[in-house]
Amino acid sequence: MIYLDQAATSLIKPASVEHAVVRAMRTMASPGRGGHEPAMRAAETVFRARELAAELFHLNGPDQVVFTCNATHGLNLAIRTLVKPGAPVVISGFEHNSVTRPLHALNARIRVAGRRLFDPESVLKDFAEMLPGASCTVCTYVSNAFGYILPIYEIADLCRKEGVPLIVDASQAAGVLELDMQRLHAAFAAMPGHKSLFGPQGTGLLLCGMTAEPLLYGGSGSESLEQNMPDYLPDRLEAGTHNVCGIAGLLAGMEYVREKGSEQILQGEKALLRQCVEELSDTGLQLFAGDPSLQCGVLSLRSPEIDCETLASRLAERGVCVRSGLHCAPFAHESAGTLETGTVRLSFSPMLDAVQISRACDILRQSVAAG
Amino acid sequence: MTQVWIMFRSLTHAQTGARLLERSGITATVTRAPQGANPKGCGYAVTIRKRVSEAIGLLNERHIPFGKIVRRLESGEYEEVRG
Repeated sequence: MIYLDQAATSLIKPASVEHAVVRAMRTMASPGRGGHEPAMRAAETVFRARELAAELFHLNGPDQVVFTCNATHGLNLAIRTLVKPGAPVVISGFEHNSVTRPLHALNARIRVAGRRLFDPESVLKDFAEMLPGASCTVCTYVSNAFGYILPIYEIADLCRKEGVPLIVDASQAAGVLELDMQRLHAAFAAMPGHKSLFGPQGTGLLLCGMTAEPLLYGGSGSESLEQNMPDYLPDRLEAGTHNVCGIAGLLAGMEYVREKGSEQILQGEKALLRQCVEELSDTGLQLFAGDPSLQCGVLSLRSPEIDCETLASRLAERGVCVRSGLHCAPFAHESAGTLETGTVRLSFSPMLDAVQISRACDILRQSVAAG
Repeated sequence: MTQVWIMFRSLTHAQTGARLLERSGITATVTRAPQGANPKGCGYAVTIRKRVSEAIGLLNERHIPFGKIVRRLESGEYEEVRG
């Protein structure tokens, strides 16, 4: 099997992640719910995960790290906190449904900034024009459909100048690109734990530059006589039992990222992406490749003759795992002009090597040639 | 010196405080808050035996929120102490 679907989830993980999950399952109870050894062991693991996330993403303290089920959960928390029904919100032209659906549910008045693929200047121009009067901005750091790296720090600067709070969707960026909450001054950044942080599915992080309104209400292990949720983080947003096994695995995944280094992971993935572009350049496929400085992790493509689902099925039959369709990002496909057809998406991880990429490209070439 | 409990509203705050104190060479242990010492119900505390004033200074300096500081009387009750 050649796994090229890292943008959906990291199937191939460091062995330490699996070991951490099993150890947690066998030895850890519920943190914040007791003082006995298994509970305190769990509490220490959860706290170490908060500490490491705070270090990786340059937060002031571990209490600004909230564990969520996934990035969607974090984005919903952030959006529900900052967007009032019917409020004007600026988003990029490359947002995922995890952003647009919560905004739609709030009947937000959406302004879309920057609909041209791999054109950061047009994004900045649009944001500068659309930010005045907006109540909030939600922007992805990297398009999940095209790997387009948006100029998030420059967008953050514009937001700061206009006094508009920023929510960053770091789903494809976390673990790969520098995400510095001190520099961004973002209100929130949401990310999954199971993509390039290599944790298990069912894990996510919400990095908080401010407090937020809960989506869930219930036990927090603190101030149990109070019927209001605690007014402090992280307890305010973490009702119910933690996913300790998942968090233990996420901690191991983040340790892997810290050890390997995001920059090395980024350069490795970029090299694989460029290799794909070169090896597929004479296949007749339309490759959505931008300037190397503007793209990471993902290469979308489509064939003029074969529909995307058929092509992905042919690849799957031969052990190459990709994702086809709209990738839950119709806005992004509309922006790129691929809404009618979708694309086949290849996404990369540090667990791949050049030999596997060559093999995948050969199979893709053969699948296209079969007509 | 006898043991004192520094009360925290949140387990995470208690852990943050304990980590800070440990890194400053003050032995600190996260534990459940003693019953009756926390008027709002369940909570956590950090216990230390020495350098209480210094510990309080460090927590204040780093803006780690904490509550009362108590010690246990021979009667079993808890009395608030000042750092």
